[in-house]
Amino acid sequence: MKFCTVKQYFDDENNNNVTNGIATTVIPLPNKHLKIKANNKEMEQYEQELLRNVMPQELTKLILAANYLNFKEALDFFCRTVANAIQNKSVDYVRKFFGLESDFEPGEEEKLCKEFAWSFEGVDED
Amino acid sequence: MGANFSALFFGQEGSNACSNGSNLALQSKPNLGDLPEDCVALILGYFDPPEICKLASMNRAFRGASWADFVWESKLPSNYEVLLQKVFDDVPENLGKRQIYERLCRANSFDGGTKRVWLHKRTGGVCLSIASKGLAITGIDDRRYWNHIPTEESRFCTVAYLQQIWWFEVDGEVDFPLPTGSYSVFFKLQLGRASKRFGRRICNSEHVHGWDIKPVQFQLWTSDGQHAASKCFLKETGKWNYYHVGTFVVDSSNASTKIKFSMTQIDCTHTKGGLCLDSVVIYPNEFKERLTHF
Repeated sequence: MKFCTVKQYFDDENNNNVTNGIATTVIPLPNKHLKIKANNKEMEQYEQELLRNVMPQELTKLILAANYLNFKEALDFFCRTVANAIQNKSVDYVRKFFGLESDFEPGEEEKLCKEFAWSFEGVDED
Repeated sequence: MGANFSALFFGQEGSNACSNGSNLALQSKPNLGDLPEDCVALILGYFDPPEICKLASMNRAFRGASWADFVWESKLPSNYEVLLQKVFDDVPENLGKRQIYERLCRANSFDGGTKRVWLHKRTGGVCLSIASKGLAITGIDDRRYWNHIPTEESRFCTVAYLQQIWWFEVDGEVDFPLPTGSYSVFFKLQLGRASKRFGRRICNSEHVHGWDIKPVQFQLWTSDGQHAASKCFLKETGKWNYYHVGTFVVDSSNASTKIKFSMTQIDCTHTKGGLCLDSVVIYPNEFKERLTHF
């Protein structure tokens, strides 16, 4: 079933231009998964090797590709990698790291603070 | 999953028009802001609730994703529906999972206001607190021994203060549908009576006596036969401390767990006094190190 999606992906002319890097990275993953499915450690090492040369922006493309191909294991892996990269960092740091900008209107961010105030206020133990 | 991939790329203004396939990857760099909400939600799922709420302020996609039910469902206790029923007379309908989490994080009262329950914000662990007024204190009706005194230092706004007594015994119990896991029981106590004078906290320790002669005994029992006991000397005047009673395990979150606990010092060769009793708390075991007196 995965290969049907891949075929459709390549057949779609509109996508021809942007697939190369992603194809070489994402497509081999299912085969690799099957080969060393039983060995988690080896898979981990392979995945670490894979991502050593990937820029933060590339991760976005990888996530989009894995999402389109409905490849759950790759999607989970790439999302987890992003999460690890931005854990415990400030919002400003995360924005800079991934080239994100806030698209909120001036008043909206304040409203947002109120919306999520419950998660920051108070201490849990007495 | 399976968001519309090509629409995403064609949605970008002017950045994807190149017909030269070889270095298009360099020319258009979709950034994390271009991810669809369901992918962002997958990323958010790896964080704890306070971090999710913090990241919600990144941009609209993050904010939208932070509302995703499947993200919050994984943070809620497995028996959250039972918890809602126990805590709310009227369970509001059509609440998103995030709203349910938020509601349960508040210190909700039950059993006539003598007990509170809340989720620990970061971990989603269930925490219970039983007020001094919800405990069976021997001699509580005799003002020579015990008094309830108002204080802003207690979440229940009142603590029980012991002036002096021979037979010291405090018992209590709680019946609650705790999720599967292991929990620790603590008595929250302070030697000495605190008050505020000119905005400063001062502690009156004139009645503190008798706690260094024999140790205090703590015990707990559960309805499924678990038992734990400990003993220690009370120390450190002027400071609230959590004294560890013991640990118990809940292995079936369908049933309600009944826990009984007690604190005694019934050696009648000496009196003891000057003690403030705030509450008994039950926390997930992972917080034991943080709270333990020793």
